[in-house]
Amino acid sequence: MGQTADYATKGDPMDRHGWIDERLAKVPLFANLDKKHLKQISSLATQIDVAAGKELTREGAHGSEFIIVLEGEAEVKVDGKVVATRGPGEYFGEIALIANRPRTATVTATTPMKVEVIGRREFQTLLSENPGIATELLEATADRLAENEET
Amino acid sequence: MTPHGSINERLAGVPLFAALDRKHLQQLASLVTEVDVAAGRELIHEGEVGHEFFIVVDGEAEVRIGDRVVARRGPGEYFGEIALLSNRPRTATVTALTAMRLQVISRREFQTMLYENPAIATELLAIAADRVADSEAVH
Repeated sequence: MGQTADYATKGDPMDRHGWIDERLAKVPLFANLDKKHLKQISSLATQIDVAAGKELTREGAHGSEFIIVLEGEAEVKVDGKVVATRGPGEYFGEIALIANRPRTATVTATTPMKVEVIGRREFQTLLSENPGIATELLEATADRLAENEET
Repeated sequence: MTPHGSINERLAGVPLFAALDRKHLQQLASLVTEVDVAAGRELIHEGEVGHEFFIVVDGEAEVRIGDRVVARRGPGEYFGEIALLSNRPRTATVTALTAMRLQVISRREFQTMLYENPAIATELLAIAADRVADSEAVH
């Protein structure tokens, strides 16, 4: 995809307000949002490229970001053991932000990745203005809890 | 055991509903059924399909996973939300330790409650995330 096409769909690249990041719009977590809120999320998120091997969150460390995967894959390790992977459309990092506790896992890029990063304050804004996202995260969190507590 | 006041007044004292105004408490009260149960009564059973969310008005219950007591629930506390939110079987067995009065909200009314009161969803999310962090903490 060339620069020209990018500009045509995104407008001024310095001003992320007013355009919708189409790749964020395709993330299932945001599936029920209207245009206004998709624009808002597009303006709150920062897209970054990550090299394979880069550590994105570290177990036990303070966490300040919520991360959405657009491209590539990461592995999730708890106590040195791989417990999950995250690929396009999936997300991680929300537990430390919501619970105000240290990171529960170490997440490392296993391929080059493109991710969207949302900081703590913007994440709070996102939740308070989009009850649908809070409900969606609540269901996902409850599901994870049920799985963790299974005997 | 007959607590004083109305269902609304009792709901107003539950921390989970602290952010609700009178109008929303009134709506919530219409979704709730109050029941009295005897000591020893099993309220939810680990592994079974769950249909209700419970709020404790009076008395105390114990929460067991397998043979292990993992928590207790007393006045103002609640249980049963995980099975409703995750559509998975009950994660624990909860048994009344004393005579209890409970407020019961069934699955459909629970969805209505969350939909009409985003503040409750946010509060439940904070608590669920905290429990996930607990369950994933390295022992």
